[in-house]
Amino acid sequence: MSPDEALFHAHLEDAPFQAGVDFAKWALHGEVATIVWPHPVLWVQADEDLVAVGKVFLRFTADGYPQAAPTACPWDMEKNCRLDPALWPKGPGNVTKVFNPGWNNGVALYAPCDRMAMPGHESWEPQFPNVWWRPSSTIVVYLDFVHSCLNRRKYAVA
Amino acid sequence: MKEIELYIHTAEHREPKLLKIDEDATVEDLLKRIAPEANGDIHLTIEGEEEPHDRHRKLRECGIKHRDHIGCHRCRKVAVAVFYNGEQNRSFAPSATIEKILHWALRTFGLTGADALDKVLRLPEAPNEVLPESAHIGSFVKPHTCEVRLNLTGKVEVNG
Repeated sequence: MSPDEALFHAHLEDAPFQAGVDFAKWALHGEVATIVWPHPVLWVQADEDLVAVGKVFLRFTADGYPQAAPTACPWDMEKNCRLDPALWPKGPGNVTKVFNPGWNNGVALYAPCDRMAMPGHESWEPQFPNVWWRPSSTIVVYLDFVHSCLNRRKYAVA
Repeated sequence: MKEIELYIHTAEHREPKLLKIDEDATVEDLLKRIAPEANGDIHLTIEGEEEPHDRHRKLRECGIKHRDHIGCHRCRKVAVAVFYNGEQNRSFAPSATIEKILHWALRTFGLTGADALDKVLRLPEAPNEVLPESAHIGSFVKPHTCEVRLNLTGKVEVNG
């Protein structure tokens, strides 16, 4: 197993990732042994008013992890291809900006932790210091950012 | 003997660590593993509860279960000040989550609906860093104090 894949597996066992699994915030799709490296698929829970099925599957490309930032795009698990743009999450705030199929041909999320979005957006580093990908980051940084984008209703307390 | 895993939150780390321990171990046993040199100056509080547990009680007797989140902290309470249009104060257990404090702050400042949607908590000394909602407030207490000052601010959206 390559070092990048081994580190990715190790981070799946660590407390921050496992805590998210326990809270049903995210999880690996399938078993660790079935990961087709460098393309692990994970899902992130979402408000149902943003995503009708309540979760988004993300197919990552994570070669060089964690020295290199990962990249991901929404994935259709049934058809095993990129999710139809009409089905990408839509909503206020960051939702439609991060999930923008019109950006870069819809190959990645417009996120400060995505390797496709980071170049040319260096101003994001001071703006989003705990989301900007660093070699010390783990996959939880990416998942937590997506989860925060897709879960907004709980703040609108009565 | 039944071994359980617990998420341990401390003042030293913002992210929890997983710890395996016998469910018949006492609070004292657990605290000695977390901070062997602390000599009784560390308290155990379960996430969502307000008071620390007695050191002689078994974890099982305290209602602690597999994969519960536990705060181990020298402060019994943390004095939290939140600044928005003014200042609001309240004491929380060190095991209170940032999410719990955010909800309290939104209620206290009367923010609802769209006004509440984009709010986050940040430390004044790190004004661009959003505090993770699953973290415990005890992880942001500075040495030799039992207080935290927070700013309630708007979330920054990705642009550019």
